Amino acid sequence: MKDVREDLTAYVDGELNDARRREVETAVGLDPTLQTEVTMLRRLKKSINPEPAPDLMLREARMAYDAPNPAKEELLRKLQATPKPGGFRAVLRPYRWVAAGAVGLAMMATFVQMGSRSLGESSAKTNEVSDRTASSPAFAGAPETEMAKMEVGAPAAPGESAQGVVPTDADSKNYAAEESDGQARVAKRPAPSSAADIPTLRNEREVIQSANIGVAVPDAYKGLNQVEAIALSKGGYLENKSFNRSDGGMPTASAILKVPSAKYDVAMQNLRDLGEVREESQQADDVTKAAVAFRAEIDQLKRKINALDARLRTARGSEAREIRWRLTELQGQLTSQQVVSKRLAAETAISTIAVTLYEKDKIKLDPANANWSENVWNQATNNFGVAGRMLGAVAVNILVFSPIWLPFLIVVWLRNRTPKA
Amino acid sequence: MKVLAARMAKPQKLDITDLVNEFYEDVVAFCRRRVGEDQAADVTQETFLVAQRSLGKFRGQSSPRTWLLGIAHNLCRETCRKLGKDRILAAEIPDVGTTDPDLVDRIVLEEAMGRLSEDHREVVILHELEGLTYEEIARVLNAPVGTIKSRLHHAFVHLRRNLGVSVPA
Repeated sequence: MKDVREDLTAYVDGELNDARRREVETAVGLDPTLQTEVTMLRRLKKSINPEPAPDLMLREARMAYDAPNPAKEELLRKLQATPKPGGFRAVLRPYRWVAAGAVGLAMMATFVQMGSRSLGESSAKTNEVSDRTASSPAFAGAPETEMAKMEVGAPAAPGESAQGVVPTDADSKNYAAEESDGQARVAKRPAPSSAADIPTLRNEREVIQSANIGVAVPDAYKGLNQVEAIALSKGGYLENKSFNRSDGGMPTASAILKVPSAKYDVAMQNLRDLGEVREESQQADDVTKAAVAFRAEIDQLKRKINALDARLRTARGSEAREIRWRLTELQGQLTSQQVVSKRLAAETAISTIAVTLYEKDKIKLDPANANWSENVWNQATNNFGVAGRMLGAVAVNILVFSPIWLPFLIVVWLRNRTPKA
Repeated sequence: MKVLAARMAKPQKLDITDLVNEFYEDVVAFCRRRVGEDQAADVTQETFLVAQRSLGKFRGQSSPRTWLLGIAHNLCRETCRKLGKDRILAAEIPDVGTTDPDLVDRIVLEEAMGRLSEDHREVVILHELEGLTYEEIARVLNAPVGTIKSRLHHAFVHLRRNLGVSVPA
C-alpha cells in the first residue's frame, strides 16, 4: 500500500504508465483513505493553480494583446541586430573535430612526405660524399677552389703525420683516454684475433665493414686534425685526406680512415662526437662463407701435398716424375688460395670510414662584423621559406583530398542553409 | 554522421523571433520567480541571446519552451551566484478572483509553500505553476525523471503537513 501512496501524486498528474495507473486505480477504488488522499491532492493542486474566472481570462487576454512590451521589443531589435550564427562557421561548428582531424591527417601526410624526401636527399648526399672521396682528383680540380690537398701514404706510424696537418698532442691524448672506455664497446664487435675470448655469434663471423659519415664541425681544418688523431689513437691511419675552401662557400674537408675492425665502433663514436652528424651510412659485407671455403680448400690442398710427399719417398722412375709434376701444380694452387685468404683476412681486420667535415656557418654577433646581420637575415629568410613550403604543402594536400571532403561539406552546407523568408 | 542524420531528419529550423513572440512571457515569469523583478528582464534577454547563439545545437529532443526554460534556469543560477544571493523561488499563487470555497486560501498556501525546501518548492513551481511535465522538469533540472517524481511526492506530503493536514505514513 505504501508503494501506491508514493505514486498517488504521479497518478493525479497522469504521469504513470498504463499498467501502474490501473494498479493504483484499483487500489484507490478499494481504499476510502486513498480516495480521500486523492481528493485532497486534487484540491491542493487546483488551489495552487486555480482556473481564472472567465471574465478575468478575457480581460487578461485583451491586455496581453493590446499592451506593448518595451523590453520584448528591445530584445527583438537586439536579436535582429546581432549577426545570425548562420554561414559557414555555424555549419562547420558541429563538424569541427572532423575538420581538425582532416587537417591533421593532411599535415601528417605532408610531414611524412617531406620526411621521406629529406631522407632520400640525405642518402643521395651520402652517396655523393662517398663518390667524392673516392675520386679525390675530381674534387681537387673544382674551379674557383683553393685546394690544400694532402695525400698521405698508408699506413702512417703512430705519431707520424701528414704534411700540413699535424694532430696535436691534446687530440691524441683525448682519444687515447677514451680508449680504455671504448674497449668495452669494441668487445662486442668482430675481433678476429680474440674471437675465442668472447663467445658471441657475431665474433664467429668475418665481416668487411665500411662507413660514410658527414659531420658539421666549427672548424673543418681543426676537425681534420682531430680525425687523424682518432685514426692514430685506434692504431689505424689516414689513407687519404683533403681540405677544400671555395670562394664564398664554407670550407669542407674529407678523409678516409683505416682502423682495426675491433676499434671500428669507438672510432665511429669519436667521429660522431666531433660535431653535428649530418649523414651517416654503414655497410657490412659478411664474407664468412667465402673465408671458410678458402680455409677448407687450403687444408685439402695441404693434405694432398702431404700424401704426395709420402708417395714420392717410395716412388721411382716415371711415377716419381709424375708425382713431382702434380706436387708443383698443387703448391701453385695452395699459394694462390693462401694469398686470397690472407687478403680477405686483411680486409675483415681493417675497416674503412669515409669522413666528410662541413664547417658550420658561424653567426657572428660582434657588431664590428658587418656580416652578422646578413647572416641572421639569410637564416630568417631561409626559415621563412621553409615555413612557406610547409604551408604550401599542407594546402596542396588539402586540395588534393578535396574530392573526399568537398562533397561532404557541400551536402552539410545545403542542408543547413537558412531558407529565405 | 549521427549529427548529420539528426540535422537531415530535422523538419525545419527554429527562428529566434518566433521563439521570442511565443515564449517571452513564459521566460520572464520563470526568471521573475527565481531572480526577482529587478533582474528578470536582463536574464530573459540573455536567455534569448544565448538561445540565438545555440540554435544550431537544438536537437528537437525537447520542446522549444523546455529548452528555453533550461537555458533560463542555468542563467538564473549563474546570476544568483554572481550577485551572491540565494534564488528567490517565489511561490506566488496567481489571484484569479475565484471564490471557490473548496480551494485552500491563497495566502495560507503561499506561506505553506514558502516553508518547503528549495528542491521541493522548485519542482512544485515547475509542475503546478509553470505547467511542465515530469519529463520536461527532468530536462530543465538535468535530473532523472524518477527523482522528479519522488521529489514531487515528498513535496506534496510536506505541503499538506505545512497546511496542518495529517498525512498517513
